[in-house]
This record gives sequence, C-alpha cells and structure tokens, in this order.
Amino acid sequence: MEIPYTVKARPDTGLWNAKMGIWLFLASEVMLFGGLFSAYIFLRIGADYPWPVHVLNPWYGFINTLVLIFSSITVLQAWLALKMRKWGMYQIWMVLTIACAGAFMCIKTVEYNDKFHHYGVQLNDGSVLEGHLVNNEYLVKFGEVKTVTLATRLNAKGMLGINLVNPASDAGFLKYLVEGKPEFKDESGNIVTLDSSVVAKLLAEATKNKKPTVKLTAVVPLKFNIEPARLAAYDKGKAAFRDGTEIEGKLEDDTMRLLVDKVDLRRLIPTQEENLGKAVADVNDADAWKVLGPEWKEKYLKHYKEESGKFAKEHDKQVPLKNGDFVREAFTMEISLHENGATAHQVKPEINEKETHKAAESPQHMAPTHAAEGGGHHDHPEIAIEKKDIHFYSNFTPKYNNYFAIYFALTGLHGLHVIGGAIVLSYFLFFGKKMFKENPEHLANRVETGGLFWHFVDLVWIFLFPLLYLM
Amino acid sequence: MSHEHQDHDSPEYLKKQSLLVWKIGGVLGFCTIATWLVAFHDFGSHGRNITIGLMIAAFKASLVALIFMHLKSERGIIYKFLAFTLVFVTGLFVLTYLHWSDPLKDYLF
Amino acid sequence: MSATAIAHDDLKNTDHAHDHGHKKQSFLWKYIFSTDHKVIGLQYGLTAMVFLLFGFFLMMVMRYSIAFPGKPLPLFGTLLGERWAPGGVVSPDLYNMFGAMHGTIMVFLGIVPLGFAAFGNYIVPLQIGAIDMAFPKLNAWSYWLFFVGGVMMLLSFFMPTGAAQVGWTNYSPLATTVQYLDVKNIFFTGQTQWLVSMIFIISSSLLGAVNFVTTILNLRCKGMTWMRMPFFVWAMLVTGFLLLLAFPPLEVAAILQLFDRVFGSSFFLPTGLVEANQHLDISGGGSPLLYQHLFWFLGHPEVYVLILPAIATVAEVIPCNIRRPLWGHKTMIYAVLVLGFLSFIVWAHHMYLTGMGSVVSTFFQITTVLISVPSVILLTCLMISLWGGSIRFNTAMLFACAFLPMFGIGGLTGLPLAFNMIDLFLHDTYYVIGHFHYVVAPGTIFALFAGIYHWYPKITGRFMSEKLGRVHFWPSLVFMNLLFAPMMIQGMAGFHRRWYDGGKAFEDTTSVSNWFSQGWSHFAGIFGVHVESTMIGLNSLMSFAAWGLAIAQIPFIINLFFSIKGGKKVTCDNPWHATTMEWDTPTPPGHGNFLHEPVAYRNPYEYSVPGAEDDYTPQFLPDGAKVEEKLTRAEH
Repeated sequence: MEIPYTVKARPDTGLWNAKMGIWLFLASEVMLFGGLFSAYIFLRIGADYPWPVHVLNPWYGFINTLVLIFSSITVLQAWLALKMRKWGMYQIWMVLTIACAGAFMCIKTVEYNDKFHHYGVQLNDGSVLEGHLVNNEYLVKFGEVKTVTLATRLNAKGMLGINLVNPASDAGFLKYLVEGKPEFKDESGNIVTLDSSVVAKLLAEATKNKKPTVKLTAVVPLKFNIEPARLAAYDKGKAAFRDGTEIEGKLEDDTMRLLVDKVDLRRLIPTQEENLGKAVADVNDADAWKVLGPEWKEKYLKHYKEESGKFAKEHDKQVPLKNGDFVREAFTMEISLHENGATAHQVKPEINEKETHKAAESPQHMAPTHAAEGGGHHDHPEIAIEKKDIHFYSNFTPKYNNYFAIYFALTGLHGLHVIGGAIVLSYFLFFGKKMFKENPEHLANRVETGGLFWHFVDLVWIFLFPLLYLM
Repeated sequence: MSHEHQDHDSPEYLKKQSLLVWKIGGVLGFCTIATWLVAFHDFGSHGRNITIGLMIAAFKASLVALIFMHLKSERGIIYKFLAFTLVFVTGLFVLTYLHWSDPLKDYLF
Repeated sequence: MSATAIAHDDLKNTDHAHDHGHKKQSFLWKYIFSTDHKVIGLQYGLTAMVFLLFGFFLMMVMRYSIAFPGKPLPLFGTLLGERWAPGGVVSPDLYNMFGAMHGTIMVFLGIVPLGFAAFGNYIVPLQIGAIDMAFPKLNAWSYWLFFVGGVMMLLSFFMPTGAAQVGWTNYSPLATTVQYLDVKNIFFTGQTQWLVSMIFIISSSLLGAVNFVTTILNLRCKGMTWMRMPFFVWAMLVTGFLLLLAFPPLEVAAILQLFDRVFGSSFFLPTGLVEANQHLDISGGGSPLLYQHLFWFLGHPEVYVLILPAIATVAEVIPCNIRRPLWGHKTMIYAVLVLGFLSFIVWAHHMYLTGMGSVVSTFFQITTVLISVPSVILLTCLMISLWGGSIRFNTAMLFACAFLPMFGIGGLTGLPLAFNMIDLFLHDTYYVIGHFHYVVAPGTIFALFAGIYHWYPKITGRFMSEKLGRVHFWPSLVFMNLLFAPMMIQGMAGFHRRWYDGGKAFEDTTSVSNWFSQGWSHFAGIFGVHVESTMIGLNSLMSFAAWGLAIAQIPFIINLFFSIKGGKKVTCDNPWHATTMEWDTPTPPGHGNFLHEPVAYRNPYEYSVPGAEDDYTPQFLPDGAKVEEKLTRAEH
C-alpha cells in the first residue's frame, strides 16, 4: 500500500504531498511569528518606559545573518546536487549547512551569556544604573542565625491528597551556609546534623504528626550568604526561602556592589513632557547622583551640553524631547574610568569581573574578555547601592524589561527552529543514502521540503536582525 | 507558473540555478550591510529609520521567498494559502494596533 | 481543475490499495502505535470521550456547589481531600479549579478531538476515496502529542497547588500571579502545567491540520472534483484551515505567558501591579490586553472549530435519512468558506468590556453581525432539506433533528451579544454561559452523537440498539434544555458566571423572581422540597437537570460498548443506503480502505433521482450499474 503523490506532483494541484504540507506548515509558522511580531509592536507602542534602542551588539546579529544566508545557499546547493544525482557534493553542502546551524547557535550562546551577567538597577525615582556585579554576585548576608524553621506545607496538596512533587522544605538552603556547621538542636533537645536525608526524615515525622513546621536551634550561630532569587521575602531579622524554610538571625548586608558602565535618566522625564528646562531640572535631582557622586553629575552635565549643542545645530526646528535619538543620547551616559580619567570615587574592584564594550566603540570585541583570562581593565567605577534605594533590578534577561523579554522570546523560538531544522537536515544527511539509491527524486523532494523550512527560518531572521539590533 | 516541469530537471537549468543562488546570496549579504549602515544614519526621525530598515528587510525577505523558496515558479494554490495567511496576519497586526483608537472621543469630549 | 482534467498517471500506486498481503502486526503496533487513519480516529474518539466524561464530572461537582453551597458533597466530598473540600464541602478554590479545567478539557481535549480529529480522521479519507491520510506517521504523532498534553493536563491536578484556576481563558495578570509567590518551584504548579500542556495540544492540532488539508487537497480519488466533495469534507477543510492559522497566536500567548511565569517577564503585566498589598517584583510595562487579543484570535475561530464538524455531521445524516439531496449543497459550501474567513475577524467581540476604542468596536460589531449570515444559511439549508422528505427517524436522525433547533437557539441568543451596548450588561453572566452551551452541548454534542449512531455500523459491522438510543435521546433532550434555558433567564437577571455559591452571597441582588422561578418552586413543593421562588431557586433545577443528563448517558455508554459484540449485524456494506464514498468500503474497512480503485462518478447526495431504479444512486456507482447490496469483510 503506497500513498499516492509522495514523489510525483498531483496534476491538478501541481504539488506533491510534502510540498503542500510544508507550505501549509509555513503558513501556520507565519501566523506564529506574526503573532510574536504583533506582540512586539503592541508592546513597543504601548511601552511606558524608554524602549531600548541600539543596546545589542550588532556584530552578533550581523554575523549570524551572514551565517544563515550562507547556509540557505548551501542547502540549495545540496538540493541541486541531489537533483544532479551527485551524492558526494550533496554530502559536502549538507555538512556545511549543518555546520552553519552549529555556528549560529554558538554565537547565540555567547550573546545570551553576555546578557546574563549585565545588570540594570532602577532606583526609586526611576534613574537606572547599568553594569556588572562585583564578583558577579549579589548576596544577602545573614549572620547570627540561631533558628531555622522547616516547613512541611501540609496544606499544599493536590487533588485527592496526592502530590506529584514535594512542596515541603528541602535542604537547599544549606548551600548558602558559609560559616559554622549545620548542627541543630531539635524540639526535644537532640542534636542533629542537617543534610537532605535528615531534613526529609524530620519533615516526614512532622507530617505524620500533622505539625506544620519543625523548629531547629543552631548549636553555634551560623552565617548565610543567599542569592536573593532563592528568597520569597526577607526583612531585618528573618529570611524566608521559596520552599518555606525560614531562618532567623540578623541581616548584616544587602548592599549591591556594581561596576557601573552606564547611567540612564530617561525614566525621570514624563512621557508627554515637552519643556526641556523642566526635564533637565528633574535630571539634576536624580537619585543616581546620590549613589554615583557629584563628580559624575558634573561630567554628565558637560555631556548633556555637548549633546544638546549638537542637536540644536542639526535640528533647529524640532522639539528636542520629541526626538527619541536626542533623548537617548542626551539623557544617558556611558560611564568609564578609562575615558574620563580616574576619580577619587573609584574603588579597586575584585578579580573576576567582566567588562563590556559598547558595540559602537569597539566592534572588534566580539566576545566579552574574561578577567581571569585577559587580566581585565578596571574601567568602571564601583559603587555601593543600598537595598532601600533599589526599586527594581535584574540582569538583562526577560525579567529586565519587555524589550529583552521579546528579544529572548523571538530569538529563543527562532533558535529552536534552527535546532529543529538542523536535526531534520542531519537526518537526511546521515540516513539518506538508502533512499538515494532507491529513489533519489524522493530524497531530493525531502531535502527541498527541509530546505523550504530552512529558508523560512532565514527569512524570519532577516526581520529579527533590524527589529532587535538596529532599531 | 507556466513552466513545464521537465525544464526544471535538466542539468543546464540546474547549473543556472546554482549560479543564480550565489548571486542572490551576494545581494542579500550586501543588503544586510546596507541595513546596518542605514540604521545609524540620521534620516531626521527614528520612525523614518525604522521604515527604511524594514523596507530593506522586506526586500530581502521577498528575495528569499521568491528565489530561494522558488515561489516565483510555484503553483497558484500556494499563493492562495499564503494570501489568506497574510490577510489574517495583517488583521491581527492592524486590529490590535487600533485597539485604543477612538475618533469619537476627540469629537465628542 | 475539473474532473476530466485529472490525468491519473499514478494509478499504479493506488492499485496497491487492495493489497492486503502485509505482514501480521502485533496488537501494540496494530492498535496503539498504528498509523492507519481509522485506528487513529478511534483512538482520538475514545480518548476524547473519556475526557468529555471527566469534564462532565467536574461540572457536576460544580453544580452541586451552586445548588447547595456549604453542604458537603455526597460520595466524593471526603475523597477530594481536606485542602480542597474541607469537611466534604466544595471550596471556592476547588470550584475555580474545576471551572477552569471543565472549560479547558471540554473545548481542547473533548470536543475538538472528537469532532475534528476523530470523525475527520475516520471519515474524511473514506469520503474522498483515499487509502490513508497524506502523512500517516505525522497523524500518529499528532495523536500522541495530544495524548501527552491531555495526560499532563490531568496530572496537573496532582501538583501541590492543584490545577489551573483562572478559567479556561487563562487571563493575565491573574493567570501569571496566581500560584506564584508561595510555591517552591514555579514550573510545577497547575497554572504553569496548563501552559505546557496547551503547547503540546496546540502543536498536535497544527500537525493534524496540515495533514487534513493536504489529504483533502491532494488525495482525492479519481472523479472527486471540488464540488463532488460531500459537505462534510468541505467543512473539515475549512476547520483544518481555522486550526492551522488561528492556533499559532494562542501558542504565542501560551509561550509568552510561560515566559511571564517562569522567567519573570512582564509581557502581560502592567506597570505598578500590586497583589496582596505588595508591589510585585516585576518590571511591568506589558499589557493584559495583548493576551486577550492573542487568546481570542484563536478563541473565536475555535468556536467554529467546535461547531463546523457538528454541522458537517448533521449534513451527512440528514440527506441519508430523508432520502432527498441536501438542499443547496453549493450554497452551503460557499457559506462555510465565508464563515471560515469571517471567523478570523470577529474575535474582539469577546473584549467589549476592555474599553476598546470606537473604531475597533464598530468594526467587530459589524463583522460579528455579518458572520451570522453564513451560519443562518447553513442552518436554513439543513432545515429546508427536511421539507417534503420521507424521514426515517432512527436515533441518528433524532439527534440530527434535535441539533437544528438547539443550534438555532444557541446561535440566535448570540446575536444580542454581538452589540456592545447589550454586551456591557450581559458580559460574564449566565446568559453567555447559556448561549454558548446551547451551541456546544445540545448543538455540537448532539450532532456528534448523531455521527456515532450513523457511522457505527461502518466501523464495527453492527448497529447500535435503537431502543437504548431512544432511552438516550429523549431524556438527554429534555435535560439539556432544563439545564441551559434557565441560565439565560438567570443571566438576564445579572447572575455572574463565576459565583461558586450560585449567588448566595449576593442574595439581596439576586432575589428577583419571575413566573419561571416561581413555577419551579411550586413544582418542587409538590414533592415536599423547599426551593426559593426567586431566581436563585433555579440553581437546583439546573443542577438536577445536569445530574439527570448524566444518568441519561448511561444507556449510551452501554450501547456503545455492548453493541460491538451484541448489536444487530449489518447485512450489507451500505446499511443506511447512503450515497457517499465511505459506504463503498468493506465493513469494517481494512488497511487501505477500498477493495478496488475508488472512483467518484457523480455528486454526493443523489437521493431519489427521478427515473432511477432505487431511491439512492451512490457516488461510487458507475453509470448504468445497479446498486448491489452485499457484505464484504475486510481481512480481519
């Protein structure tokens, strides 16, 4: 039993099955990416914050565009080679195509990794400082921790009382113990040394007795340095982990240390504001200067003057605040010790920090140089920001703002398509020999189908490159 | 759409195709550079930059679709699918974009 | 693309259709991982019916909470667990959870798979004379993706947080922030699992849709021209396109919401969102409206995905049982095409209350009113078909006939909702619930019952019991109406759709009454049961109707399973004397379907052709040949 029109086209529709199938599938893909692009437009138009423009390094996008275009050519050459029944050429072109997919994903990985280490901190008035964390870490430090309360979370139960995943405390919090041994006295006075099995045992007992918590007292006071993402909430004396575990002690330090490379004051200006004088006055009182210090404020005012002078020369008739490019140039400033000369405010940062380079300044730097490898230039001033001054902070992940969110969503989904396409093409490469011998036209059709998908992936990227990197 | 199927399998035709693909690839590469240069050139407003950038992208996309995906010699039925798809995508774009637009509000209040 | 133009140079391929000499398959490969469209159709059908039954069960629990708020649920109350039903009383959380899952399961796991995937898979290739779907392996993949998605959806009940709780529409920001702050791992929450399972289900539908459209366009047999395709195939073609083009935006919505939940982005979260007096740790700047647009861009075509297979089934059952051609076959085809097109541009009529601008709202009112035209054409054609027919009232026909007025009520009650002036008052009330349940429950589900009774002899070689069929039909019809008609009355009185206590907490505002509620109160009084004479008293009427409806399904379930071995045997391959191609196959059809190369000689509904010997002239009957009543057995 064979299904008709798998190789030869049906006369009245003029298509073989797979070609019709792939075009239908591509139509649905158009709707998928159409939906994402319309989300992009909707979010960008409705944004109540300055939409980031020119914040990505265009070299990544540019090289990836060329890689994808080249791979589109090679996949076509592979198909043409099959049409001419040249198996060897087909293999060469196909290997090249798949290598391109690999290169694309590698570049993507480097690019993503960059974002994970770059942070933005929004202060209470809306001024934003960008930079890297000292030692790549921000820790909430608790000392004199005497009490640890484990939660059984009796009430977190699925239907029929069945839980497929355990909602209770686990021993994860011990990972953040930096000083002291996890030796505790339980409620009846026995000494226990906590690890994951002991925690599980204690909680199982408590669950049996229908007790919501297990309270443990530390034999010697402990110290914890905790990643804030692991915490559901904390205050001066208490920290609650997401799994329900609570520690009681003293909050010693939750100051963020940041190597600032940029200050962005655009959020201080109301969206409808047209009065430049008022905007400048607002910017003058920004919280950013409280943490950065007056020297940087002076430098900024100089920078502002230069930019507004330049703007006045070029566009004398426009309202400056209505020009996004001007606002972007005038109300943000790169902060670098290297260019501006060291100031008294500088604190020598620790090892291991990473530097960034703006694309426009040093396009030759494709990848961030690791301090451990390259020695590192300590280009950026280190500042300390107290928790109470921080309104919101995040690394440049989807959380930071919707620009990065849609950037990750679009490129991530596109990346999945690249991987999927590469897998399919690899299948045609490695398992195609038998079909080539039996029915080469069928294999050519398959490669054409895979190629159509591959070109579509390329086509999507053609729009992604300008939308995300350039505009 | 009037091409005979046989034509598409002759070695001369395939060789010509192979050459054409390289040429189009070159044009695409060139356009990519152009997109970048255009993005950092001041056309007076950012909106204009976006429009020009997207026009180049659309040109590139149509080259990919017409030549690489050989839509230009493809059968009408595919065009029918795609036409509907584009109508609906446009609907999705335009109608969500217009969500707040309310000329009555300006007129009445 | 006329019939004569089709040059069949690939005949040698189709010749293999009757080649049944393939090797014996094990049970696992034959019935579980099969790529045969008929087996997959049955798999879809059985899975979907299980889901339907489960969704129905959830609804019955909800109806208990509405009718008897604060009273412990009998039988199941203690089983549900203290967290969800303290002391056996349905808690608001449980009600929300069941409400959300009822909608999701019924729509995405019940009716679409049953109507489109199951019937479509089984019937479409037979009706166009194809030996299988165009991509049999893809077909199996799409079933298994659906199955995995469905199972994950069910497993989400057993997450520590319970399953999704914010309604089948899953609106953000609530859907993002619920089960968010106090959980150990955000991925293992019902709300996140809902999104993950939806991505599976959507992917399955997309693959299915590609397969259906390709099959219909490319695998039609010799002579099967566009206009010779039965209406069923046309409706499936349109449904395929609806799924293909409308589902991706929902996939986008699900992916973005997944980002919001798992990666903390703010696609659908506005700036300054506060929950439990706490500023959430989010950047904000997103738009809940974006979610609604993306959701309803699917949501409305989805309504037609639910109803088109139903209309299609009825359009097959009716001509066969009235012995007349379908009235206006071509008109119906054009109507269904227009309907498909329009269904893409009416979505925002679900969103009038978002305060959208007058431009968009006017546009959507116009298109919404317009779309009622093709719907009415379809219904009118089916009704006119009945005129002057000699109707054979078997169970299938009873259900098909009941479908017409039920779908009519469902459709016409939707008209007022098309106007935003009226919708402002009726939005989210029981009126809306009544409206769309009339379309989907006594509408679609009745039509699907009709389909099951109609095609059962082809699938199993035996008839379903007509007696049990009637015991199934009449109570179902009565209870369906008792269940959904009072909803409209309550809705117009302002009953909100999400009250877990049926309005007890709002007694001051819900204490209006009318003749209907008073009548019910008097009626209950006869049996010594006290029921309030106000609108809230109708709750118990509807709940009893729901449970009655459940009891009425028992004869169907018995009938469905016992008739496989115990039903009356068919005596020929075409027991209903129908005209479409699927009756040309052996009973039941084997792998490869047809015993000879199928050819369509004429239009699909040639009943009572003047001058013909019999009152039916099947599509597959060559000119001048006589109708032959025989029973061929597939190779089983």
